[in-house]
Amino acid sequence: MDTLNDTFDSTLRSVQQAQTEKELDDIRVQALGRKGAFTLALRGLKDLPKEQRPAVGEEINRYKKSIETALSERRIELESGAGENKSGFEEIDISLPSRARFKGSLHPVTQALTRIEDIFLNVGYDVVLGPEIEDEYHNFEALNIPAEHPARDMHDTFYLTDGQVLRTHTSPVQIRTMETRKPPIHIICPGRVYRCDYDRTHTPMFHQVEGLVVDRGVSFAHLKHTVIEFIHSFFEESVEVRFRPSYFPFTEPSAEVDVKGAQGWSEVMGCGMVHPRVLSMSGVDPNEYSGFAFGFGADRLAMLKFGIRDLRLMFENDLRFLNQFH
Amino acid sequence: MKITTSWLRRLAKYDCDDAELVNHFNSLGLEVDAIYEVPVPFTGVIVGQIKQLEQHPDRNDLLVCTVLTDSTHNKTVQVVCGDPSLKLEEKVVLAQDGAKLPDGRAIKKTNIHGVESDGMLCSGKELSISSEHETIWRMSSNQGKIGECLGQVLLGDEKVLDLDFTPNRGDCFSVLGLARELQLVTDGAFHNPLTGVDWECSQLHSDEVSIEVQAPEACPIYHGIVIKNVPRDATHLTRLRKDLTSCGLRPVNYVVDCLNYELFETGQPTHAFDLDKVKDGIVVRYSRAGEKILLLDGTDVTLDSSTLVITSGDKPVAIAGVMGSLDSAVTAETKDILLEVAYFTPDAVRGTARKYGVQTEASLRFERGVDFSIQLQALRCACKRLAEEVSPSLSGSEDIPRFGPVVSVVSESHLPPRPEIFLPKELPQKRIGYAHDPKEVNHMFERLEFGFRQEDNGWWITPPPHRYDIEIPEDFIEEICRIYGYDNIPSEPLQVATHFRGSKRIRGDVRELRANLSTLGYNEAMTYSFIKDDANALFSNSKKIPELANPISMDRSIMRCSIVPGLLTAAAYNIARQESALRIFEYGQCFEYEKSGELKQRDKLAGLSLGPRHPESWANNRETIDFYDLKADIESLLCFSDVVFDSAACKWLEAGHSASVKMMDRTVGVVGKVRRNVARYFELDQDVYAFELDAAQLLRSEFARFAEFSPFPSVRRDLAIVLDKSVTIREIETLVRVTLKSFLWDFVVFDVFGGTQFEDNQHSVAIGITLRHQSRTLQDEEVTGLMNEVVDKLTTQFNAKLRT
Repeated sequence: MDTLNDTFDSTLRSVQQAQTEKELDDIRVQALGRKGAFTLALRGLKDLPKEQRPAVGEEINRYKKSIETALSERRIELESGAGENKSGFEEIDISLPSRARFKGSLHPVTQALTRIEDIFLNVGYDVVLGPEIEDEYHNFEALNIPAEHPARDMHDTFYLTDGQVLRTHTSPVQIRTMETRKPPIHIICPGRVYRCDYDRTHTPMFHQVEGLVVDRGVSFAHLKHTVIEFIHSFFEESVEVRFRPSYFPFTEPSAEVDVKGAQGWSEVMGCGMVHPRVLSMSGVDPNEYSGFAFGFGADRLAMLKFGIRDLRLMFENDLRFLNQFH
Repeated sequence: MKITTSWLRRLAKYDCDDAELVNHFNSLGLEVDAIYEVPVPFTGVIVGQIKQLEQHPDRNDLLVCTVLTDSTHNKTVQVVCGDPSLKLEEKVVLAQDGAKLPDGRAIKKTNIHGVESDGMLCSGKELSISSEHETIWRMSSNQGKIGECLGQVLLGDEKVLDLDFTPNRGDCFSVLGLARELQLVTDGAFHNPLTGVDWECSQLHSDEVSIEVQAPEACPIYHGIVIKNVPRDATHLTRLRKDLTSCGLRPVNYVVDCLNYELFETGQPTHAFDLDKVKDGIVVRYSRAGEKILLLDGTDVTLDSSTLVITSGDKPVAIAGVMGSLDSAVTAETKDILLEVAYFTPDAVRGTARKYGVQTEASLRFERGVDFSIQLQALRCACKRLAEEVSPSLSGSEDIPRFGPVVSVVSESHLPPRPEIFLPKELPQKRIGYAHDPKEVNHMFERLEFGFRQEDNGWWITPPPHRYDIEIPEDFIEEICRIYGYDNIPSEPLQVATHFRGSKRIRGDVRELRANLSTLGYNEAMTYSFIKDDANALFSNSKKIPELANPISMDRSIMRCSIVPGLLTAAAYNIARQESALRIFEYGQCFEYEKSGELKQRDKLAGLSLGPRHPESWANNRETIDFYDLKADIESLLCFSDVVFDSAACKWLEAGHSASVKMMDRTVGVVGKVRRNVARYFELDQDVYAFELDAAQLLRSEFARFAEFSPFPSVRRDLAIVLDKSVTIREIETLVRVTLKSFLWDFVVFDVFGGTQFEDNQHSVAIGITLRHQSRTLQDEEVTGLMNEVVDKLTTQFNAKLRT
């Protein structure tokens, strides 16, 4: 029997090494054909003692089956072209460049805004938009910034010849929302805003996102959690966040938010508890409701996220810039 | 505001390092912009020691000194010096080879009458550290190490803090204010220079100037004192001037420097008039329109009728709380002065400085609010400083200043009110989300100098006169947060109730539009919303234009009515930078007045395309884009709807190469070739194609509706016809549709060409028609019959000939 076992092993090896249909046929004939080793072995059963015949016969049949299986598997492999290409077709150079198409891109500020909107939409905020040319009431008075208030110095405002203003922040959208909607309010207001300023980190037009929450029992602790979680979500890591007291006429208490980066702390956001006067001017009872608001430059977050050093690049529309954000 | 750490240390007790100090101020909301070493006006000046003194070989008045500059390595230099009082072992200051002195002199190795001099020994005056100029500056024996930089020796670890205050914190614009704030978090003591001024002047006179305040509501407090024989030699002010220059103030003269010092220390602005110019007495009143004053910075101002002024002899001598007149100013020669220490209300000064374009240290503080309880004390402090900064050598002599009686006009009823404010006990916890121990809160209020009384259900609190930012209970809450530390307040998740935004899904969502264009190969641009007036005029159809009153430049003075000018500018920018293919788009607001006079702010979506149709590649042809590329882009962009292109006139698009874009019978925009004159305006010479769509009309909320489609096979028939070019494809398609009705499955134009084989105004159009029946297989004869009908109609209606 040992010789038959060796024959079996060597047959399987030659099946694996076979490269053509013809080779497989030859192997089959040699092993299983009329004069094949296993056919002969079966015929030889009659020479064995009677009690051994069933066991040996069974073993020979097992060998035959295994060889048939190996043959048909190898045949399929050869047909499907596995291993080296023997299909007979000419090969193509897959390194030849494609029939190229122009690749478009979305502006980094759009990408940042989309991410910001998604973060807030996912936790139940609405996105609300508003006009860029505003009246002074909604841009200033309703936000507790009367004429001659020193805080107006903080906003280098563009005025239109008819006395309207280019909004200096998207807070007017919050006012318009409070005027028309009853609490609870959970909104963010993204959009373009304008201030007379131009240097490496200031452009006369930029993008702001302001958030507003008004409900019963809203506290500074809620604001902190919201801001910290948002920053961690946006930057996809647990950057260190710091809150500093600050001043905005429309919030009290007010805070400035810094994040820690490689170059130390950088200011990213202003926020605070909505000033009760702002609530009541817009028809929300400050004794019943409280709220928080926050606001930040989307361009600034985009700069930090994408590693852009000069804000002015955002609005030059140089293709060498735009093509980096596919 | 800039302030030195040494000045701060004189008033505040603190034992933290600079980094911690910066953290303290930041955590208090007083933002530290920068902290840096006190700048010294010289470089390359070090401490040296005289080791040898010899007479100059040729000159009796000069000494040749050997100065030790490095005691470890025993290095010396030789310098020639003219101070005969120099002694061995004295420590001196040496300007080395390469040093720069405050007057701009650069020190170099020289030869003085035959002797090498490797540097220069300096006097105090030469270094601007004292007025002494006849002798070389000596360091005391324990001051400074040999070889140490003089700046380091004089200033040690002193730093300048540059702080940025929010507009509500006028009380911080002084060393006193900052010291007071610092103790809130360090819990250390601070020294208030205004309390317990123990100065009584001995040299008196009885002259006074009359004071009349006609506008007590704007000037509730006005103190005046005549001071005679004021010191004039400002060289006594070395230390004081060092502090002032470190804080960014320019030294002027004895009186002004002393008063500026008081201003910075206490926050109370004062003003000195030349007594001769205000002899007629002081009247504080509002200006009359047209009155003039030449301010001491040289600004010539014509006043309006509502500016608070100080007058004398009915002539304005100062804009109250802002700046005095040049004519009445104190100069280095002035002997007698009138010192004004007043309280002007924020309302009286606010806006004035801006109105006349003169911001001063005084106006900065008055418009934010000065402590109205300190004027008399501040006057005493100022007098004391004027008297005592004079060198002690003068005391007792005739030259010391003499003081007259203080004339005061005070109207208490016009002082800013400080009403009691009630802070409910539970409010801090409600607003902060953290409960403070009431005892802790009491302690905070004490340190803040708030007057308060505690009741069962809360506190009645009176803010102090230096705080103008405390009006409502929330203001106290902010103070509690500030002292407790914003970073120590816990953070707590907010519960947002679920709410559904309605059933509509906006299918043509802006995001989708942007993403579609990006896939079509367009880069998203963002251009400024304000553009040049004549650029806007090329696009605008309305007479009234939204114009900025204060544009950042004349190139950006008009609010755009279209995004296309911005895209054309961006295109030209890139073409000038060697780009040849460009597809850009932008989404944003545009502004235009309607005929009704109403200003409309609409979101628009615009795109621009120029250059080759494909990027350069072995497989792509080199054709440039044309109208039909843009048409395809718009069809892909708006694939959720049927889009129809109609000929239409457009101000900035070439007639005959442009179309209006219609969705469901509504015009939603335009597309076509930009007119040559428009492109040229933007310095573009090539063909430029653009589209602009009204974004609001592109948003569609419905889902598409499914229609059963036929499972039966289709049959295709092709036709080639020759006909007049004036017949549009649309007309042919309409004819086919009307004729075949529900049998028509698809209609394509697969070839259009003209040529010499046709008459001039004719061309060949090849169309493919696919027919299919909804409920059965079409029979051959039936198809032939339908096609014959089509051909007949084409022949009769368009005079088309079938090509065979």
